[in-house]
Amino acid sequence: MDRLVEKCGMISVFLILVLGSIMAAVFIFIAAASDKAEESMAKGYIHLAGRSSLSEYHVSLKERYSLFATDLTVNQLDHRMTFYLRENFLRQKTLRMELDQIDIKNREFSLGNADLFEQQLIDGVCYPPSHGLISELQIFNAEWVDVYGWGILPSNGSPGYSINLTHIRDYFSQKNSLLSLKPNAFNRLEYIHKYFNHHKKEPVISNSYFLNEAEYILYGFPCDEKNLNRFQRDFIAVRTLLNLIHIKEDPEKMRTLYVAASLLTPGPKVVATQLALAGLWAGFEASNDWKLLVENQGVEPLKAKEHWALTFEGMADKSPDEAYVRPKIESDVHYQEYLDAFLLIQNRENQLLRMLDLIQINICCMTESHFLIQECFTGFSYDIVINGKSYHGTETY
Amino acid sequence: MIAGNRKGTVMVEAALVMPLALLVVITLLVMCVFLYQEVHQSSNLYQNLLEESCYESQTGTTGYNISNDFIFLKKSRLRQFPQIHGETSISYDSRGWVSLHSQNKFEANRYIIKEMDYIRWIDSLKSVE
Repeated sequence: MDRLVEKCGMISVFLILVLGSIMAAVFIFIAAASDKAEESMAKGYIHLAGRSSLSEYHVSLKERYSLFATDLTVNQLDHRMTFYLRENFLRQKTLRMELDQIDIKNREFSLGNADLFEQQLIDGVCYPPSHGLISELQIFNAEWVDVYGWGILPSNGSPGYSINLTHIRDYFSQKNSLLSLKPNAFNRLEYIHKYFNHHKKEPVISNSYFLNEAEYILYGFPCDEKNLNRFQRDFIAVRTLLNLIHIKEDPEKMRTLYVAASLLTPGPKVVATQLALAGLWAGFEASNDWKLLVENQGVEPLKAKEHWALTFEGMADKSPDEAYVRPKIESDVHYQEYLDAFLLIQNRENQLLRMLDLIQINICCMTESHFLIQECFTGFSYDIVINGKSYHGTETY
Repeated sequence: MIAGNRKGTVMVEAALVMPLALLVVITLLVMCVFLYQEVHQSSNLYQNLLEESCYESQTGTTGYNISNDFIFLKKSRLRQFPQIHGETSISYDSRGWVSLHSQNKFEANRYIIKEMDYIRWIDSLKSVE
């Protein structure tokens, strides 16, 4: 009973309780503060490790096409990230940090994705072409793909025309057709100018498997000649139509045709013959236009009298194999401008995927490897657990 | 008799010591809160800057939702390399018996770096040469 009323040591107990509470409160605050500090440190280290891992970009891809992508696999990226994070954790003495788990995903960042490629292309197009910086000693073995193939192409190797009639109709039905084009279409065109050859390209960009690359982008046949023939066919078709419009609007030409038609088929069939002769004349003129283009001469898109080369009499005398006839006034619109017009109204996705095809084929020749553009990645996403806390994010070029 | 009487001495001592002890305890707790706020706010400032620089350079995301948290970010693009300047402060105001005012200001800078552009830029210099 005496012990219950004894007051000795009461103050000590009181002080222990108070000090204990203070110490507990201090430790709680220290733990919370270190938790918060750890969060920002971890994010800083993850970002740093991500940048370090992405620094291993594919050199040939960057030097030839100014594209940044890494061909490291998920496992390799995993190892790189683990290495950089652990090394950083070991070297810092402020907080104890432990890497618990790491999960890297990169599928959604494949350069085979047309949107990601377009983004990279837009970023790089404002700089001078990078292929001029490649050492002349770089090996380019075109025979390599002849022997081993170029693997699965991003466009799946589907050839064919990529401008559909609805697209053209919609395009020309707008008042300001040129303004209706998105700026990206011009960026893509500039990239094609800088990094791909075409039939009349001067000087030719070295390290290219195909010579008519821009024509490949339009038609997608794995053969230079076939793509050029398809472009010739389409050019002549378009020019025939434009030449017909010119003939119809020129009264002198219409009169000549009417006289010729009257002589050939007098009577009610005159109109039909006149139309047929006009088509023939426009076609021959278009064929002459192609020869002019191939010989580095210009062809006016909407011709006036002085831009017209073939006379009606001259058309009859001329054999198809003969050299071209020059118009009175030479035009400034050359092969490349016509090619550009076709490329500008081409289907965006087809254009991007065929550009990727060419990149894959040329890099295969440069690196003598089974290079696949789909296996190159412009970044990765991560899910990392450090000291039991999860961090999600992405790292991209 | 009164001088010899020791009753109430504990009470008197307690009356003298307790306010002092309480003051010490409260001061310690306030200091802890203040220091915690410092760490919290500077950590938020750093995370804000990191997320914002990643966003500006389009080089990724860190999964941090940029919140105001009394953090002010200022982008300076006119410099050779664009930079983000961030600042925040924490303050403690006591308007009671003893008037106390304390404020700590934090500032930090972070460059907006897009390595890809930097490499291309160097390459374009090479091609000019």
